[in-house]
Amino acid sequence: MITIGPIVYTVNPFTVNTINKLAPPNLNDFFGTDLLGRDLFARSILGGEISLYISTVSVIFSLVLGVPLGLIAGYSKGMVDEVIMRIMDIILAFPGLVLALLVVAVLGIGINNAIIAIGFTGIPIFARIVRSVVLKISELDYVEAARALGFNRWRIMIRHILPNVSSVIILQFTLSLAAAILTEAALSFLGLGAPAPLQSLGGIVQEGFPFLQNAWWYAIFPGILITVAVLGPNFLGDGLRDLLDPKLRGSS
Amino acid sequence: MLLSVKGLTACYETPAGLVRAVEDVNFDLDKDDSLAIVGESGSGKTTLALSITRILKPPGRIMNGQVLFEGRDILTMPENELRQIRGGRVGMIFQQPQAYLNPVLKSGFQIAEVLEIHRGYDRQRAMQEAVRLLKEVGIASPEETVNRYPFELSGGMAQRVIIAMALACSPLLIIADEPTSALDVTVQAQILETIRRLREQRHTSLILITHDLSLAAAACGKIMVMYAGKLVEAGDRESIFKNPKHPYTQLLIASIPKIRSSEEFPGIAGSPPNLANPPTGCRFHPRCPHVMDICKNVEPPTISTDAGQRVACHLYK
Amino acid sequence: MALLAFILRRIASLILVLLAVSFLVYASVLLIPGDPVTAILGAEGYDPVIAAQLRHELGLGEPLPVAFAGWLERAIVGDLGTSVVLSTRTSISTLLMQRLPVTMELAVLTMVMAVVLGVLLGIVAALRRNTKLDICVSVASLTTYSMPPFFRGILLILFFSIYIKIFPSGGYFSFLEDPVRNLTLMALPALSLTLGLMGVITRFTRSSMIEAMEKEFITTATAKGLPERLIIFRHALRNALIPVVTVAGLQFGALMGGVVITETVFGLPGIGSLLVQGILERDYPVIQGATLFVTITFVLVNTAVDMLYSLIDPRVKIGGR
Repeated sequence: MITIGPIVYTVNPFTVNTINKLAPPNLNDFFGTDLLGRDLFARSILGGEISLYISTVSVIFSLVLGVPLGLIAGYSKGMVDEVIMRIMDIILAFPGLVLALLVVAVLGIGINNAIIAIGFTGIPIFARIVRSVVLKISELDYVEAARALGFNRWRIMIRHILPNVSSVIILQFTLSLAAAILTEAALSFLGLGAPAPLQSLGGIVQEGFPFLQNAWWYAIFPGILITVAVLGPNFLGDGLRDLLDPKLRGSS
Repeated sequence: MLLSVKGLTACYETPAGLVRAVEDVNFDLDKDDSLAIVGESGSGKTTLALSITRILKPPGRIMNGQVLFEGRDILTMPENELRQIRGGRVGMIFQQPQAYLNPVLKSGFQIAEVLEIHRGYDRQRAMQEAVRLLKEVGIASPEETVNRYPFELSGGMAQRVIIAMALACSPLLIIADEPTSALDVTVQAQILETIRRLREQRHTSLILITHDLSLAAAACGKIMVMYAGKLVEAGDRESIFKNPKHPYTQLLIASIPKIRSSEEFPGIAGSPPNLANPPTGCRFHPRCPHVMDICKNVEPPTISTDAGQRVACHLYK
Repeated sequence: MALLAFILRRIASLILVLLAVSFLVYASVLLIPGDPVTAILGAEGYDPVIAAQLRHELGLGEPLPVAFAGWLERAIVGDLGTSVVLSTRTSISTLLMQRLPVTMELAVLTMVMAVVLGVLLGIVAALRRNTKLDICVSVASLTTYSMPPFFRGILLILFFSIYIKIFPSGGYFSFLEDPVRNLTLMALPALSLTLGLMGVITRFTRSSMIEAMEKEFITTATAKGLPERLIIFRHALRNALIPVVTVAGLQFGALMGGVVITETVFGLPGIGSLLVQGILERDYPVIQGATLFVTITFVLVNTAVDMLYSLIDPRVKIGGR
């Protein structure tokens, strides 16, 4: 049984039925069946949930580590800022996927390792944008006033700075989510993501790739789903960006 | 007649409605004439300037009228003819020199361009001419300046480059829209003097757009006063100052600070009208000290007096 | 003079980053749970000679700074160790050199196509703003940009290799041997990467052009009577392209990731596929070598683009940084 929110789809993604293997899409199996006769639609839904799970948790991981680092760097300035930003620069020196691959190479294959790999790659961008907002805001008068009144720096950070940073964080969350979904798909397509039998969409595409000539549905439908999953946050991010910065309107 | 503007009407299409920025404006300009178009911001004077050479961009639109330049109507001319006139026969000078120069091209090159396009000069000859022009507009070291980028120049120097650009092909008419408003006061006088000198030397006609009536008087022999998109009074400089007819003109003149007088000028009551929904009848009537009933309902016709002055006011028949 | 100081500062910072990157790549071995050598070669039955060599190459058993220095020294002269699983006893640098032309060709073809097509499309979209064409371009580029790179490759294979048999879908022939064959084999992989990179470049060029065309100096250019072609290409584009250069350069990062996937999908024997195979086989020296190579290329290109930006924008060049 698979659930998409409130809708319950009563087909088991794990039921093997080799007589019906590699069947094209039909009324019973919307996306056709795979190598072992399993319903690809059910498998895709499950795979989609896994993809989204891994991607979302990764971005939360990036956020939870990146935002505090950005806050501290922006607020403290000086040496602390230098050191933190240098480390972020070094992480950013690696092309995104390559760094994730390296982490998986070291830690091994698995869902949690994939989350760590993708999450790690996403930390610097959160740190950077939070830091730049903090730098801009800490110059503002009311923060100076708070400091002059002797408020504890943590209190200033949380009460005054954080609310302003939140809109930027939300925007970046959508953009990072789109990127994370793509990275996760890449990892699992290479066989380095969530292992069988709980593959994510990328993994299903990997399975279906050899059968492209005779059973195109095997690789194509999961791929379309990934694209749709990425389009969502991308559209959302675009819309948010137009809202937040009217100057850029007309750019999308 | 060099330039003859008849019934020019231009507006902007905005979400708030159709803004009638210029309404039914008529005037003539002869060779060697200098005309100042005076008005507050929002009076339509810049829109008028942009309409004369048809460079008004959307959401602005020229609705009606004729602009006869050397007998040909600019508003209905084909593009390629128009392009020859722009820069070649009519030069334009704008308000903020730095913004109106391309930041990534050298100053001299931007002048040379005009010569290359309109006179067919090759690069070398055009650049030499550019150096000569820079000298003519009063730049001290033209050979150096020609290789500088706009951001390296002071406001005054940048404006001189623009003047050089406008004069490069010896046009018959220069249109200058608030050429000195963005500059320091001391530089303002210098630039105006430069424009005046060049105009006289080359016998170029001038249309000077400004909000400053005293500046208009200092620079031009003819003055045209605009209010809320309409022409309210026009005539030569002496007549306008000695015998201002329209109440708005009178108030403008009264507002010029006089050194010897200690009278305070109370300002003109009210504020400029909303051009998307202008007042009925005479557009100045809400602020006019001599307002009559007829002013609220009927637009005043433009009348000519024997002195060659024109005025649009119900006070005169 | 300010320019020279700027360049020197950038180079110093570059060297620091390269060192840090090398260190990370080197030290990641030590993060492998358990004994790295066992993890790499398998739990039992491995050749002790190979194991000993591996232990030496990875610098295990020595204090970290010494080990890293040793590794770095060898790496600088080109000795990146030997492969232990994929192609035993072959020097990594040999493997990299063999595969370099493939990856380079793919990268260059892609970047050139992506920039040229992306900028052209962006200009067209800017000039035909808000028309149906513009919206189509936006939607199309957003969609292809949202696809995972392997999916673009798979779709292209489906249409152009299987249904309409124009291009072959796998394998590689050297350009020097057979240019035509080489290009037909590289066409689809390069195209699949280009479609992805193009999206960002197009959108950015478009918005940059729109912004440039609204600027006041364009009014001046029009008032000078310049032909439209000149206004667009000489006045507007030169201003608009400056930020686009940076964006295009930054796309190189996405390119590196995409290259890895695309080489795998199309079976191209490049450095990207080497990296993937290395990871699947746990051939750690290969992983280190390939990662190092790709990352250093990435850093160098980014630095070059950064410096290029300062050279094209006269405001930055003369005003100093």
